[in-house]
Amino acid sequence: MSTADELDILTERRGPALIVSLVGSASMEHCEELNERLLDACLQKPDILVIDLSRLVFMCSLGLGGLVAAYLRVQKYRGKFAIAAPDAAIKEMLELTRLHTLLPIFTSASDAVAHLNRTTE
Amino acid sequence: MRAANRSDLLMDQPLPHNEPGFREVRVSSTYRDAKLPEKDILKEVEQYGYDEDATFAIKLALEEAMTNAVKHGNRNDPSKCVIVRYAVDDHRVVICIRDQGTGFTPEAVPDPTEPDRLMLPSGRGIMLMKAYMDEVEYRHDGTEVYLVKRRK
Repeated sequence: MSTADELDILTERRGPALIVSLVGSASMEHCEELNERLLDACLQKPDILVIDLSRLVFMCSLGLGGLVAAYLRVQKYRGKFAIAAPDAAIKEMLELTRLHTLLPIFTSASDAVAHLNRTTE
Repeated sequence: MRAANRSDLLMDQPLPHNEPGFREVRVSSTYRDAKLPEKDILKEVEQYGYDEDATFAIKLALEEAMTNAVKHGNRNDPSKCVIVRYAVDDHRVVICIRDQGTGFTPEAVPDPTEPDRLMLPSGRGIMLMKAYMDEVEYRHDGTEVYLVKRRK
């Protein structure tokens, strides 16, 4: 169980999708590991990569940078990328930085997979 | 008594940051050590009853300022230190963070929300500090950042 200052990174395969769930707090001391784990996920080249933020309570700009880097890697191999279920504070950060115009955001990981699966077929 | 003294100090002074009432912490330039002052500062913020939004803003600004000090200021050199001075009272939270780098020109940092910069993985720290704090001021050629969050 993560506390507010810890970060757990969980991965789950759902058909063509790889879901990476971030649990806890993506603060500066965790972002190197976070970025490595996101790189690992991209190297698997899933058709759909969803970053589930539904259990994330904090993210610093290093974490935002990790999301952007993952998005670019997925774009490069022509996969689909999405962010799922950011809480209000993290959603506000995405909007302030205008990353919501770059990164597709869905209300849940399931919605993201369902939507991107339709557009992939 | 403690809060009243600090309040007078913080509200009446032209924002110096090395007088009594401010605490000072020195940490080495690693992300792990840079996290240490945050726990103490947020504990005081909680004790003074700042709300969830203010606490998130202070945590975020601290993380961004410490990241910049460690990564860009001290170039991840653990032999260099970051000095944090802070004071919390009923009215506001004041934090000064100084690194041992050569400084930079804040005005020269490009806007990360410009369309041609959106896809860059870095460069959002200063913008986020400015968005979430009431005052963000760089001093001493950019080697020190001064942050203020007022109670709403």
